[in-house]
Amino acid sequence: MPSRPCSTLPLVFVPWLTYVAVTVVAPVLNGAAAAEAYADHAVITLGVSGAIFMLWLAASRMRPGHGRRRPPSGSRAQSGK
Amino acid sequence: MRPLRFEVPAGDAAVAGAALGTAWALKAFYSKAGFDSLGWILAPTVRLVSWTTGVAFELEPHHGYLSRDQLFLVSPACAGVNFLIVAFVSLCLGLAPACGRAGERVALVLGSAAAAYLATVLANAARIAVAIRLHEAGAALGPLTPSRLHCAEGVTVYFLFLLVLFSAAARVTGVRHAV
Repeated sequence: MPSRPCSTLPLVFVPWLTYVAVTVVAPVLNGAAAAEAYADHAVITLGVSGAIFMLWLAASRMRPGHGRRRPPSGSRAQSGK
Repeated sequence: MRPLRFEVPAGDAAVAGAALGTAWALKAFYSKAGFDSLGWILAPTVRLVSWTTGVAFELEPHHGYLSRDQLFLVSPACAGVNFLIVAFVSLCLGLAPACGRAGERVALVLGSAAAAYLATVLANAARIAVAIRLHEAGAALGPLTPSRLHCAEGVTVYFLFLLVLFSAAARVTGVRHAV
C-alpha cells in the first residue's frame, strides 16, 4: 500500500487512545463506573498502560535513525551525473 | 511534534465507520454472550495455554475451562473480546492513511480482523499463562492485592502485545507513525 505512506497525525497514539476508550471510557458509558471495582480497574489501566506507552515512546526516540526523513516516494537518489 | 491536522479523507472515514460499526456490534454481542457463544475464541486460547504451560483444563459445560490442579477457571470474562476490539480498531484507524484505493481499504479491514484475532489468542494465552503462575504463587505486593496484580498483569501483557502488533503492522504497510 505505497500510495499515501505519510500522515501528519501522530498515529502512534492510536493504540493507546483506543485501549483507554474501550477499557476505561466505554464502561463509564455503560454505567459500570458505579461498581466498586471500577475505580481500581481504571487507575491500574491508566497507570500501567500510560507508563508502558511513555517507555515505548522514549525507546522509539532513542532508536538509531529516529527523525531521519525518508525521501518522498518515487524520488531517486542523485547519482551525481 | 508537528501540529495535529484533522482533515479526514472520505476513504479513511469509510474505514473508520466500518471499524467502529464492527466494534460496536462485537461489544453488543459480547455483553450478552455466554460461554457457549465464545468457543471460537476461548477454545484455541485454552489449547495454547495448555500446550505452553502443561496445565490441563477440563470443559465445564456452560461455564468455562477449569484446571482442577490449579483451581483456576477460564470463564467468558477471560475471552479477550475487548482486546480483539481494541486491536482491530487500532489497526483500521492507524493504518487507513496508508490506503489509496478502495481495494486496499477492504484488504486493510479484512487483514486487521485476521491479525487482531491471532493477536488476541496469543496475547490472551500469554496473559492466562502468567496469571496461572501468579495465582499459584499467591503473589501480592504492598497495595497490589492478588486481584489488582491480576489486573495489572493483564493490562501489561495486552498493551505490550498491542504496541508490538501496531508497530509491526505499521512497518509492513509503510505508514509513518512517529511523533
